[in-house]
Amino acid sequence: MMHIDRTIGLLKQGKHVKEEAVYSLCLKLQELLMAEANVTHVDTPVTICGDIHGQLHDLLTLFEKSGGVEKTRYVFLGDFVDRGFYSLESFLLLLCYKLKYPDRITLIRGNHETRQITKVYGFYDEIMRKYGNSNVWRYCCEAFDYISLGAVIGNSIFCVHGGLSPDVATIDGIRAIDRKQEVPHEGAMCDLLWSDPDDVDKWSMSPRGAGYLFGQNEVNQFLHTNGVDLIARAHQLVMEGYKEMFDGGLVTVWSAPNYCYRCGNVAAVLRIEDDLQRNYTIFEAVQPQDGGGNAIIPTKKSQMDYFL
Amino acid sequence: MPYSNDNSLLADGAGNAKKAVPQPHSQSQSPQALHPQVVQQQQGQQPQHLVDLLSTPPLLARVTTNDSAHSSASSVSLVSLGRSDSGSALQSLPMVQPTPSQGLHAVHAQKWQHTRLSQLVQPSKLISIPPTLPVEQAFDTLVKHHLSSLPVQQPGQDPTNFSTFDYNDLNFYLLLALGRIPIPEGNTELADLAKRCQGDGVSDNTEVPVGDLVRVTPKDPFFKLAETESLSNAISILASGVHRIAITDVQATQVRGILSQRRLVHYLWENARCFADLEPLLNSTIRDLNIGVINATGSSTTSTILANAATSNSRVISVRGDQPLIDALLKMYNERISSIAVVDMQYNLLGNISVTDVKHVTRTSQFHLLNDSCRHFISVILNLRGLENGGKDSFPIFHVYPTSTLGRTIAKLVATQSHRLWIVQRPVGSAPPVPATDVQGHLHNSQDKDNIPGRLIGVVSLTDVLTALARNQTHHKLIDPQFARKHRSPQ
Repeated sequence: MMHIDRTIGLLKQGKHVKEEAVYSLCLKLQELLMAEANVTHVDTPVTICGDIHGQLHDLLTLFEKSGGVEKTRYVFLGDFVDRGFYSLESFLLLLCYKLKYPDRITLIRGNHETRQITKVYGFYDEIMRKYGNSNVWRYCCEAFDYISLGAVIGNSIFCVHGGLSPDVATIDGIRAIDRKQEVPHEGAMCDLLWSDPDDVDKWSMSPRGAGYLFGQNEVNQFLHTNGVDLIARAHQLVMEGYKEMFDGGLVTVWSAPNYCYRCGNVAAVLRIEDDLQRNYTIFEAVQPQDGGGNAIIPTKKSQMDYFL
Repeated sequence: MPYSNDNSLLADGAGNAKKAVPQPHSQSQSPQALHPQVVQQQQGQQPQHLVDLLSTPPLLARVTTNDSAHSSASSVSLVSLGRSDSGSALQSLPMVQPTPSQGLHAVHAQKWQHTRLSQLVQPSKLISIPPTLPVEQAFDTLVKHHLSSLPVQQPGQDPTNFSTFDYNDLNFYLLLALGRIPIPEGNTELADLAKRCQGDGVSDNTEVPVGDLVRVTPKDPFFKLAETESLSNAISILASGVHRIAITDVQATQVRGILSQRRLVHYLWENARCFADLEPLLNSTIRDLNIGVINATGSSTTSTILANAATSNSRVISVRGDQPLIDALLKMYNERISSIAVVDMQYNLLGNISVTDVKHVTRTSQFHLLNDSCRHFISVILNLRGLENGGKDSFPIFHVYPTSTLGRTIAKLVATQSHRLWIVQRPVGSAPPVPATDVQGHLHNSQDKDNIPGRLIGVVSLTDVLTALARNQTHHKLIDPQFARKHRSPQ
């Protein structure tokens, strides 16, 4: 445990973690998650968090504004890595919290927790930059394979990263999926991580090239069939931090403020009380700083910027 | 787990779908919950498989007229597309008004080939640029209006004959400025242009007018058709690889609009249920139709594919992820193509680079990207595109299989708004579950898990789709989808 606390301390400062330590942490996570079901059951009260995307300092703000892991239960809806500059630290911090407080924090897999996506959306490049080789990336991807696909809060709220699948109408159906693999590019496991709600009157092809679009009919059907009241998901940027749809049957939660350091959005987390009441907390981005307290600003365009 | 696209789904206009016969899955044995069709039957949901349903054309938009209150048959209309491709509202023009007795019979008897081109173009103000405009401003105009090409027209001259400025030209300009275009001996025009692009190192870059540039760049042969002409003529031209045609009024005095391959395919897809003869075509596979470029895969074993790739036997033009971006840009120019696949060492598809992505390397601050790897550039493109789509990241590659139907291919082309889909080898099976005993040991080598989604074995583009449709015409014409590419030359 001391080892974990020390690592947590390093991570919060964005400091380098040795390759051997990452290896050991990823292995421990695999062992822990091995026993976890595809869809975990979580008690209230609990705070639901959306995409993080490597924005470590905003993740720290998130914990600060919502009580922290010591006092609060959390569900993270995936997409811990890619795009932000601190994908590794963000993921490892959540990993450490999961090892330290396994019953207080639930991790769900996002579409970015895969080899294929992280290779082109930033995480792979970040590891190459920080370590000079891809071993740490491989260890993390191995760990991703074990992360569960969904959660049910208090028999009332179904949590998933993307959305619904036409191939799986029941939560029981999700339980029977073999999840311990790279996310396939089609099929139920893929759809759960890639689909989006939209203003459509039936299932439609997704412009993303994976998953589907689903509408109010599909949501109502799912809620009714499974006896739940809400689908909580992430996967799409929301300027206001959260967005309810379909008469409150679905909510998108987004937890990366000022996404990619340029979108100017706020972030949100959703707290579910014991009586299933919904309380949203909004928070804004902080200026990321390195260990020495120096502000880290993404490179601005140089003054002299000629066309060809 | 992957669903066979061989289930053909026949749906008549009234929406009664015949249930597809479930085929035994010979592919991977990844245990899904219950077989999805079984689940749906038990719950009394739709009987057909969703993937097959989405691989059939959409139901037609309905127009309510004053008469429809009295007639029992709904008036089925052909949906015509406005000028913008970006999914803005489709306008429905009442084209067919069947009487109750005719019902849907009249609809099914239609031949799409006879549709007039006026149905497809919306008369609206065309954006064009004068040849005197500097290339930089021409580029800004493309970006500002989200276009991939612009007519270059001299005011006062014949508006129905013009050149175009597009991203292929911008790519050429960039390569010329970098000194990567060989100048043939005696070609003073090109030599002069090169000098002006590169600047003489003393004074400022003289701004090169776009007219000078498009005079020397390779171009598709220019075609124009009157709006009274039929789709049949347009498709023959577009199926040969020409990307767009100018549509004029009957007297050929003014341009009504530009008909692109993409708009034509979208139109046919949106209206496919009007045209009964398209149905068997849409249910045929890419392989059966013999369209697209597919590597010879008598045996699609890994070693064959790698051998093909290694000896450049691959018919699909690609570049490796670790090669610098400039190599990809050069290859696109030399091969006269507008998109190139990026693969890894095992020939797995990582993504693709299109000539329109040149827009991301036009400023000095972006020049370092030219020497960075293609894989890195893909991440730049995908990151930017995701942000432009309101934070909706897309899958890195858009692909189909040789066994995918034409309907499935078109549905995906339309949904993703792309110009081509890569053909990949079907994955052999999902990765085996990790046995408990192995956890004690070490983390597995994840090399073999990188197999998804499969190796690149071909490509199918809008041109190929149009070829399949064109060959289906009642008066059979010899269509060569490579025609335009072979004839791309300075006009």
